[in-house]
Amino acid sequence: MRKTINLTLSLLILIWVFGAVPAFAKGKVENNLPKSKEAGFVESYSPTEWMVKAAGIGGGKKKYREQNAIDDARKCAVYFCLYLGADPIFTTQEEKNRFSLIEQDFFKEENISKFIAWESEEFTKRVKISGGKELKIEKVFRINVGLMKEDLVGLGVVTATADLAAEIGLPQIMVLPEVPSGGNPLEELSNRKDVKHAARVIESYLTALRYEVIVPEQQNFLNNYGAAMRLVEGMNDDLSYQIALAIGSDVYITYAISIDRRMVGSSEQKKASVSVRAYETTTARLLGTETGYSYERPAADEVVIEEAMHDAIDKVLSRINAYWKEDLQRGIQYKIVFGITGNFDEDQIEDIQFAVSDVIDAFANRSKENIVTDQTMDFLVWVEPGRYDKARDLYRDIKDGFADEFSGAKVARQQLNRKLLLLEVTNE
Amino acid sequence: MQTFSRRLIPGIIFSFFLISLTYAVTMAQDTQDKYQRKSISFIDAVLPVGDNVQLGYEQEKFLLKTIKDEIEMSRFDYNPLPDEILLSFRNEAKSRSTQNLDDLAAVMEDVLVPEILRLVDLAKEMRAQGLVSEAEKHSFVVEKAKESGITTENLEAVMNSAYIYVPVISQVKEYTYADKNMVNYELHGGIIWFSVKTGEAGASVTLLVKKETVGKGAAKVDAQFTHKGKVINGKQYAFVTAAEVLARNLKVATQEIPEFQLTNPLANTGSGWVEFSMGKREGLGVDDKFIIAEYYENADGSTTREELGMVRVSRVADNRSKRADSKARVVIGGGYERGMIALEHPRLPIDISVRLGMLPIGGEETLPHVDHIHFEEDISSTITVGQLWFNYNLARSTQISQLFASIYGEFGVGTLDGASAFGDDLESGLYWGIGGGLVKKFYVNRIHLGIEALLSYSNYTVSGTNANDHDWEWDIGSIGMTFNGNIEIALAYDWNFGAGVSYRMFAPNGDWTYTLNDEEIDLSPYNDVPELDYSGIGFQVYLTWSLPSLGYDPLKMARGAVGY
Repeated sequence: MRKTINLTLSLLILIWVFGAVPAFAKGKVENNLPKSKEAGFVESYSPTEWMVKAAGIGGGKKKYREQNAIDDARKCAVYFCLYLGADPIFTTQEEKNRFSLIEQDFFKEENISKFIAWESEEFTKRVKISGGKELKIEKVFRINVGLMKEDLVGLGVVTATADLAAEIGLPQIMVLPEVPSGGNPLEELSNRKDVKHAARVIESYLTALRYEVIVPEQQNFLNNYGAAMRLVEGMNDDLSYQIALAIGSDVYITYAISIDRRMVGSSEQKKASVSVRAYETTTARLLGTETGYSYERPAADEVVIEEAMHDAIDKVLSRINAYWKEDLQRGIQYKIVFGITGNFDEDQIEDIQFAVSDVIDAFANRSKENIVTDQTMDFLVWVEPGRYDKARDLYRDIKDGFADEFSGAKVARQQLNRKLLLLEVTNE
Repeated sequence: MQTFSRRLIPGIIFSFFLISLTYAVTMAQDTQDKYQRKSISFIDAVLPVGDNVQLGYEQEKFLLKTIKDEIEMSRFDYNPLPDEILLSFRNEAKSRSTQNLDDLAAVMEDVLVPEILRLVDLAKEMRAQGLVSEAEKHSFVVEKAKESGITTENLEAVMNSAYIYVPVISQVKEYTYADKNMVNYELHGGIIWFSVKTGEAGASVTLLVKKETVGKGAAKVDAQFTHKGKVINGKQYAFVTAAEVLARNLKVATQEIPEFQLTNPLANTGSGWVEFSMGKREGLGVDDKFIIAEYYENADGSTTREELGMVRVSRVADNRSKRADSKARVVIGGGYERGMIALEHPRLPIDISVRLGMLPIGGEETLPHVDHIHFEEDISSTITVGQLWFNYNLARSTQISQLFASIYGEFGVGTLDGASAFGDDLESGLYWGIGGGLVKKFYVNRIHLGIEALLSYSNYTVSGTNANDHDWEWDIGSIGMTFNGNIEIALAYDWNFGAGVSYRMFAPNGDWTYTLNDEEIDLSPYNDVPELDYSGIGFQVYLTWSLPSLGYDPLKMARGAVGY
């Protein structure tokens, strides 16, 4: 018996000893996150790639310090794209929370390597820190942000633009140059080569990311949207806003270009700055504004404009996406304007207004009443994407709903597009 | 020209101190400094400063050419100024009675700078291409827009990297010693560097630095020398060697100016070697020394540079058309890592070595003789010598690292124990020797193994007074070979300590010169005069110093003194 007890005790001790060692080892939390968070944005190389300058800190044995520092810099460059800078990939706390569950695996060296399209051989900085115990280096990396976003979508951390597209379509973006008050952006676009080039750069940049982009050509626009323009003319003085509404883009972007020139020796040096603003079409609400700069160089106007535009557009685009993701939670947004054009007395008008309000409440997830007068009712509504994927469906439900609510008047359409329903209430 | 320049001295001195002060407080912040090529222009005139300046036309011409050859190193691009511009500059300087460096700079600004900027402007795009960083070469602008990637910053760097140098001569001393048939030249001179800066307010010239040094030459007055294919007399030889020494010293002084110092991060490292991206384009040479340094980041974000050791170039890469890395062997320190900084440590290609040695001397026993010297027994003595060596590094011309042509002179004392003359034991005799040959050093980090093969001439003199109160002297010289095997350790960048064994091969020689009361005695009747033998094993310890400058060239001096 004693032998059995001794044997059992010995076995238990052995199990404890050999079991405990790996357990202690496991208890040491693996930390794959970068030590260094020092990084900076260099340029948007393409719609899917960013150039980032990142620092890395390497400790440990002397012979491994440099490699450790390089590995850390690689992680830091990826970290920058995720969290830091003016426009990181993560735009909401929910995304960060979801990512925190997988960050240790995500920052494994073998995983982040696939996002690094290129890295400089040379260091831009190399210093010893902590009294010589650690090495800090700085390098330039080109990070494939597009691939990183795809991975994060696959991991369920961020919502893919493709998912958004499946639900409500990617935002349709109209692009126009900024003009002084009273100016005509369409004329500016057709008359100025640099302005046109800038529009093409944005178009090219956004279409590469599968956005639907509209750069209105003056003649085509007037042919196609002349009637719509006449209807929206009174809504706002801003011609770009009117054009966006007439076209029905979800978002519109305006931009202004400036090129500073000076001579260095016999060569003309140019530095372009491009300010880009994005607006919500239905309300003309400013979603984001960014100014991009080119390096000062002895290059063609087109080159410095494109360089500056790349610097600005990527940042603005992330604001648009953030807005779009947020707005998606509420549904598809429409601006609905009712014009009461029939002959109605005061009581009838009031009843019509109540009826319209009831109809909108019946089908909208959310609505906002902008203006209500005896002649006009202006609403912003958010509706179920699955139920109303076309403006026509929405119009039909409004028309039918109003007919059920009110007799002696009917709803007729003046203009329908992706964003705008211009309706009139007339005598039956 | 001479009038205005005489008044330059106070201005020069004041400006020099100001500049020195500026350097003292400058601290590099960029940790990956790379040498950026500078473009230089040259004023084709020697500026005389002071009263002791008398240069002939040919002398001035030679001095200018020699300085130009040394200063215009591969690390520079050149903006050759047309003759008419230089003439205008000289005339303008004269007409304005220029009195100090500020005045001189003003004339430069008006006359030279527009032309220099025009020349720099013509080549600026090409030169700026070399400044485009690795990251910039991978930018959207280069890869997609197919542009050069040059930024205005690069162009401005080129436009602001123009320098003008003016050779200055402050003293020309000529000494003729008719009794010794010798002529000596001593030249005191230097270079004033001006920097051309362009900005919003236009272009201006500012004094950068002034470097001064000295060059000496000597020759037999009546001798003829062949110098660079021309036959010249002793006076001319003394002058040209002095000018060459002056120019060579100025070259090192120029290399030491921080703006012109070659600097580059280490591109690769390994056990006992490093590589950096410099080569023939920068005029790198085998055995050039580089200090390895690295930066430490302080708590406040500032950086300080710490020197770690030194390397010596062993293979020069041809980087004139594409990037290539030169290799250097580690001499001091080790464990170097990629990204550390290599800083040029310019030195003359001459090492000076001071040695203390024990040399063998002896001979076989001879029969006793009362009339002359004899060895009572087989003698095996030693002579204690002091030696002065000049080692000329041949690496640049042979591409063989640490190959030297050496000359030395030695002086010592020693007693032939067992030798006697006139019934008395010989007292200590005087020894001197000269020699020259080839030296090759092999090195593993700090340790150098050196093999020396030399042709040597040794001479021993012993003297005394005999019982009749007659002064006597025995003197004998021999030619032989000396082979040394040394081991050295690098104590510092420019200091080595060494010790070695010497094996000397001399044929025993009994061809003494014997004088009694200053009268040479014919020794032919005697057939039993002892033979002196310098063969055997010796030892030496020494210190070697790599020189930043040397006021004379020992080899040229020796040639001048010999008169051939």
